[in-house]
Amino acid sequence: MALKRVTIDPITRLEGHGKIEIFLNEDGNVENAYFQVPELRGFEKFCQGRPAEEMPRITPRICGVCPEAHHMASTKALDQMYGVEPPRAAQKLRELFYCAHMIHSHIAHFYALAAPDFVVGPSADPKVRNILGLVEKVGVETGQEVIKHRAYAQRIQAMIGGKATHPVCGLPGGLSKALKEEEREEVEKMARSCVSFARKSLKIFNEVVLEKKEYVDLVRSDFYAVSTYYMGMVDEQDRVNFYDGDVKVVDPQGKEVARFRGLDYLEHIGERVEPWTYLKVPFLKKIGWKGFVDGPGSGVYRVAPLARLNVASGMATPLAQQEYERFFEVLGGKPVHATLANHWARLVELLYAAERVLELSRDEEITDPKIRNLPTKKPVEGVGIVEAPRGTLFHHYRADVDGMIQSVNLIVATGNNHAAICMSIKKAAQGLIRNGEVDDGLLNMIEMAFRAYDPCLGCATHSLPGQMPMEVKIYDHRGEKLRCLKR
Amino acid sequence: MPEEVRVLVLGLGNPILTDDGVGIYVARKARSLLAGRPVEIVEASVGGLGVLDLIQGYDALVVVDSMLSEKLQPGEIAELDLDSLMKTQRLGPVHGVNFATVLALGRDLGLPVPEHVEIYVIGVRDVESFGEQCTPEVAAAVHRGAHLVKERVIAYLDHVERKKTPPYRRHGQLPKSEPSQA
Repeated sequence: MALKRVTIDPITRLEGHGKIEIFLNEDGNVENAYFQVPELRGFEKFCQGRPAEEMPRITPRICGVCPEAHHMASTKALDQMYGVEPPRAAQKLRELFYCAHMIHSHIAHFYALAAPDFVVGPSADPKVRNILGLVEKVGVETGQEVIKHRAYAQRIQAMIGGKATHPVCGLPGGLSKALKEEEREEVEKMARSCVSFARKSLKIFNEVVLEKKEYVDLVRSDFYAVSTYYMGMVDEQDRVNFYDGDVKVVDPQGKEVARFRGLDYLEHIGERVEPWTYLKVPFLKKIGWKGFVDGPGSGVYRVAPLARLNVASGMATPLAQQEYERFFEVLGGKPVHATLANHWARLVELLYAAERVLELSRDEEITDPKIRNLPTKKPVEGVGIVEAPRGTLFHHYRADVDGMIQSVNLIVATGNNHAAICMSIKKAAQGLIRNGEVDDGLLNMIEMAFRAYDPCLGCATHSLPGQMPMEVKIYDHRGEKLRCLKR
Repeated sequence: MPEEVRVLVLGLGNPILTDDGVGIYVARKARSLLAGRPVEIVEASVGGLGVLDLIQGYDALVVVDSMLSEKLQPGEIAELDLDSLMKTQRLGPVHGVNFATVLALGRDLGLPVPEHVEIYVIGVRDVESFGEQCTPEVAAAVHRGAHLVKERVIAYLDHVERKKTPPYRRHGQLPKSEPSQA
């Protein structure tokens, strides 16, 4: 029997897609917009009854995009469950590993997803508005640098994590393996190269976006801005930290309104269930849920690079600090509400992550073989919080008397941003669609509003064709479908 | 057998999302069927640019993945037409880049990506529930899939052996056998 051959074309129906639905009013202007992602079922049930220490190996499997973030949040949750503090060398090595993950992720987002909109043009044909079109414009050499530095970050993660993806290094109280001197030397060399590459990336952003008035105007335009609360993690000196610290929240004027750690997240974050989406909608409990609206009276908050820069007083490394200052100078002071500024903020963070890896690779303690304090108590309850590339990530576990998992709650970065993503899409659509007239270029500009968050639908499935398909549907005031575009 | 011939069998999927792991299970089973041959078997749960890191340095690549589409019944195995996938490569994905874009990017950048690529997909039913076992029809395809992979890899290696020349350099030259689905 001959084997069937399947072809994929743009209209092949694939299940499990993300959806943007835009509803127009009688005048053909935008009334409402929704962003939906597919449901994943039964994670808590899947975990129940398993030994707590298995969680850092299970949770990275949730997502093919940021397994390292889940691994680290999970490992930190176990530290708290077992009541054990890792030695300093282990904390530094975890942070080094984690900053390498940020480098890996931020490079991919900027070059594959963000830059084509600006380098090739926001309303350019999708046939050229992609990473291949980008390479054509910026040159093969830069393309090779992109791949090389992603591979460096991957190599560092594999060295410490034990595997290239789905790391196995994190244990309650520390890590499974210390860093050898020859590995440290290799990390230092690669980190130095990553710092240069991050600076080059900021230079490209400067040339491609900041030196063009129309793009600066686009970034700062009202229809790409929502005025929300912001959340992000800061160190003891109130500077951005991805691995550990306090979770800080500022209001739309930039004033600090909350600072918390661990289990206290329950006092600050409420999770709302909406009838039209499977993904919960978190909000700030103390402000309250007022619907999908912005302003100081609404508990909607944002996470991700822009939010992190907005909440912090600065960056902990010198070159990133300079870029941080320039960022707020050019964009008119803190906080910045321009959603598209996430791309720039992401590059500032790329530079910080590279500088931090370099700094840690030169730290005298980094090769210390004492990388674990053995837990001696039974696991009870714990919360692990990290800044994933796409924003704050919470893992909360509770165990039964035998140390088996009883309950699990995860709040993922794209979940935190859910309400704000819906609002950003609606506002962009309202600003761009007039009298029911809409074309592909406009739709891409609407998509740009949500792409800036680097929303991760990858938590769902990896089935071919290797991407989460996306549908944009537009309905008229009678609820009849006017257009449907598939990406 | 020319020593430099290197074949990669890449099983893609997520082994805790019910049917999504089928590509991984096929690769795992193919490992024992292909023991002793110049083949590497890799299981991965990555997509997009992550695939590019895995496929460099091989002459030939056989990918096995799940596919949720109205074109396939659960458990049905098909070869994915790479040319048609290439046609969609430029459509902007939501997150990451698709497989065809990854191959094209690798070639544009002069990276050592495989010259010969075959992609096999297995129709799936449930990729949204957490679970470590496939649904029955999909589970039944694992054995067939592994034997198909074995046949295709051996066909490739035989072809290279017959030619006694460096591995052929263009996609689509490999004579198509008709692999059995039994």
